[in-house]
Amino acid sequence: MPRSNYDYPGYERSGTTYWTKTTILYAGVIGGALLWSLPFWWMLATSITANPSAASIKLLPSNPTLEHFQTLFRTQPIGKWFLNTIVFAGSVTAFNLVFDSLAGYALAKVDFVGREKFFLLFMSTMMIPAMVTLIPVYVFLAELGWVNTYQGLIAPMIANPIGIFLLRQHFKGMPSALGDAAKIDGCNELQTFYKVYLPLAKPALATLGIYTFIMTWNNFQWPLIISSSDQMYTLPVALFSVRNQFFTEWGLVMAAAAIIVMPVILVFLSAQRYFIRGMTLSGVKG
Amino acid sequence: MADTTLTDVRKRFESDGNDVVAVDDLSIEIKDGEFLVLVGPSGCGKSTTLRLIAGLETISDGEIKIGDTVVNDVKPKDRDIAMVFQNYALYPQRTVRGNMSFGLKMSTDLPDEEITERVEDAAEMLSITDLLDRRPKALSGGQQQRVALGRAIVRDPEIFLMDEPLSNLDAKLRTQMRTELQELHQQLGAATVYVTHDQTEAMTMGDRIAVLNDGQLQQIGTPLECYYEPANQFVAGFIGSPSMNFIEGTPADGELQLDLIRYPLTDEQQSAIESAAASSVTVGIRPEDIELTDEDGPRTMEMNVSVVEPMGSMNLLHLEQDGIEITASVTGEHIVDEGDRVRVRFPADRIHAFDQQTGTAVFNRERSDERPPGILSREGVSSHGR
Amino acid sequence: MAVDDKTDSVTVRQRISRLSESITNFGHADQNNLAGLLLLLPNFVVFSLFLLGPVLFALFLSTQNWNVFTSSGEWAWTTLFGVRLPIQNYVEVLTPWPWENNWASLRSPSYNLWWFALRNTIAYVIVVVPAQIVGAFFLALALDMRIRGKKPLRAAYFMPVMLTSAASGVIWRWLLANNGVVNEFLRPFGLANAWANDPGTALGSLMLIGLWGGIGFNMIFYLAGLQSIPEELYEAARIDGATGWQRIKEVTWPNLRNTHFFVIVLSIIGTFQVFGIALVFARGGPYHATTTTVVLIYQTAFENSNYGEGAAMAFILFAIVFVFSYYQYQLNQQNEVSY
Repeated sequence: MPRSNYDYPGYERSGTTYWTKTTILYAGVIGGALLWSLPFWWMLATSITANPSAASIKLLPSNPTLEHFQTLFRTQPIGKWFLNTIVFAGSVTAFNLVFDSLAGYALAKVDFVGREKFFLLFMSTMMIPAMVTLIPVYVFLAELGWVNTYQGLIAPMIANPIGIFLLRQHFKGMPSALGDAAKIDGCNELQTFYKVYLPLAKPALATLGIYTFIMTWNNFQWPLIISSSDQMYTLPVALFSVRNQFFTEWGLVMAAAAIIVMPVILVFLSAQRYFIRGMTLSGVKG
Repeated sequence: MADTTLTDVRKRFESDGNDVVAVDDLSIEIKDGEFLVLVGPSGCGKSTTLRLIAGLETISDGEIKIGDTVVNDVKPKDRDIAMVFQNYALYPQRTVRGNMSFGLKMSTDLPDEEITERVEDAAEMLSITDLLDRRPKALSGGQQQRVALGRAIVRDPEIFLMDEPLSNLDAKLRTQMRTELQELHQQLGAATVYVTHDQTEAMTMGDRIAVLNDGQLQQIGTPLECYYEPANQFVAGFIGSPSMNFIEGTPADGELQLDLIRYPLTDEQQSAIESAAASSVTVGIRPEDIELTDEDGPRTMEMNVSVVEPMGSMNLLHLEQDGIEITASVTGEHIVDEGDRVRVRFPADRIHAFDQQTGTAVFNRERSDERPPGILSREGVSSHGR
Repeated sequence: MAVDDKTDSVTVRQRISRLSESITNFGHADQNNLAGLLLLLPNFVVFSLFLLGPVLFALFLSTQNWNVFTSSGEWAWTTLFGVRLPIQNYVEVLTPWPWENNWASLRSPSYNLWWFALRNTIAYVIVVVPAQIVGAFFLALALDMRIRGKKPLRAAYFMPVMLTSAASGVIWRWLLANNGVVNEFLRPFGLANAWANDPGTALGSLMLIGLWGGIGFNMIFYLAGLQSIPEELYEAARIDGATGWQRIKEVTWPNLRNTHFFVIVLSIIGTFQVFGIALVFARGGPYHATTTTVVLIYQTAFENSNYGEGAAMAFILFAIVFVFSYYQYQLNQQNEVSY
């Protein structure tokens, strides 16, 4: 039944009160949005200004220069940093997608002993603050000799209760009748999973994939802990290192920030709804 | 207390190129104190009409008057109406008492004592006095609906508006509430407009019913008028359950050619067809008006029984013959089996005819004035009017 | 009475047999245990190795003076109330108690860094959480009105959430630098300040960064919650004569109870563990002004190589946050059940 939300009798669509209220609302919201994005613009403006100091920066610098970017590329292993971050985020996402869809399916559609208890066990790990596990994991990985390695970087990040939660919910929402039909047609559990249910889970997989990728890309804490040489840094940690190294050379630092931030923003802008959906479904603060 | 009138009311919803005309030139007069039911299939515009009266939508064209005031641009709170929603729409953090008194506090200057008095009177009328201090969360669906009713009653409005209030209740509760609503209406005496898609509710509750389809008024009249004298084929098919059978035919020499049967017409029926200048006609007959008979005759036909649905008090027979399929309902005492061949009779005084082109009724069945045996006295006109 | 004795003993016998049945029976016939457990296995392995096992190991670590180079430790003994317990790390962390020396540890970091850091963190939580929530609510309300350009506006407010904490910290460090933009703007009013270098303002600056980065997150949840309020409630309120603000008070706010709980719990858990921005903005300084609990734990364990003490601190943090984490866990379960 059609319904128009702001179109009822007695609601003035004109007149001074209406326009004043509307202007204030728009001004406030748009002004706020501009204020919120100002730091980004400043970062970008600074990165292309030769000798940045507050007085000399305008939002559109008169003599834009790429020297900061050039210096960075010359003196820092930026390519390696990008590679590390892509490998990190990519692998963690891939492992998560595989492991979590298997587990999510099992927890939703396969009847086995202790199923609900396993689910509660996995979910209960969400209550553990990160530092409680990161310290012992580091010590453990140190024993294995995995400090400052890809495997050390990636392995602990694979255990992710959010992904299991998301996919279990998704599989639960699918009709069990499909699986029954598949079993009658002769599929075993694994085949039912990947021929029948997995193809239907594409939207959830996309959501989880994008969400995990961005969250992992942005992860600062763990890569900081596990890497000890700048060849192993991921971009967030690299940014910290650049900041420490070139502390007062803000042009350089902002250029580094720009390099690190832009990819994420681009991915986000193109896949906004997936990320937001992933957020609302899992309810975890980034 | 006076009438509410809608004159040539039109409501168009605009949405990126696809305009929807939800209500099309509707004119209805709601008499003071009457219980009018707006009924029709989904999307027919009944809820929109109700919302136009309430002031929750603006009118595109036409005029709505409550009493003597034109209320087209009047805010809902100033229209002297009260509304009961399908999903109750109670304020979750307020108690029942709070829910019922909120409207009075907001839009009237009544002193607190009077508000409390009204709330308690309404609560007693609805038997929810012991729930007054509970929150909606702690109430069942039926109780919540009563609170919603109570909220409307305390406003003491010119007109009550109810938007499918019983649809969310389970079947048993629904029939119970139906009778309660009718009793309430008698007690309160204010006009009520009641929207439903359930034609049984419409028939049992309304003083008058207005049948809508595609935003247009099909017929407005007492339930029995709509049942016995439907204005067009839509109303005929919508009212009555199981619904009317329709068979197409062409008039020819005082008879109707219905496929392979020739059905003789009476003189009155014949002249009605001629004055309507109908070149083709759809004949309608209700399942309960079809009779099983032994005698052959001009108005009878032999048919095969394809399916029998025994309902206890009656049997629903699905009959077919030469491509014609109809439903007949006969008393449960008659034992009919699937595969039987039966002879059915279409009594002349029971058939309806509708112009195939326009759908308008050409003639309708007779209505009997017979008094059934056993009536010892009659107290004026019954609420369902004759 | 004879009859009762007989029935009593029958039911007791029944109960015993049912109990032994449930122990020996492994579920029922049409369960597919092998498949289920196998599908779960990869995750179960990583969870045990990297989440569940480590918790126990952390508990163990907290009782040790751990030497990461030799990968060995020795028990950290101390005597408490005459009993010899390996809780030396905990004692180091928690003493001197905050109330000693006239609550000195809350005023200066030199007495007990843990309590000072905790003070910093709690101050941060108390300011940022309400600001984030109320701000996000009104933002969501504003964006939910029939406004053109809702998508880009929403993206603008949400963008800071997309940044890694290192980036936020660095960008704001520049904005708030002595020769940074903010000072440039405030200098004519005489309000310029060494925001990041002044121990008095460093924490406040951190709070601003936290608010900037977190409000968009809560806003999204409120936007989703606003969608779920049925239009009928507003219509009933309109018929009752409620004005715009009254409708917000009577219909919008009370019907968002679930969202409120969810967002509050999430915010508290998140802000309590603030780390990245604190470290990158001012490396925990000046004079530990921006040292939050997690920053302290990080520095203790990884910069000072004191893993035992770091683990002890982590557990104390766990205990503090547990109540809220448990709440969040409950909420998740409830939401799940209500399907």
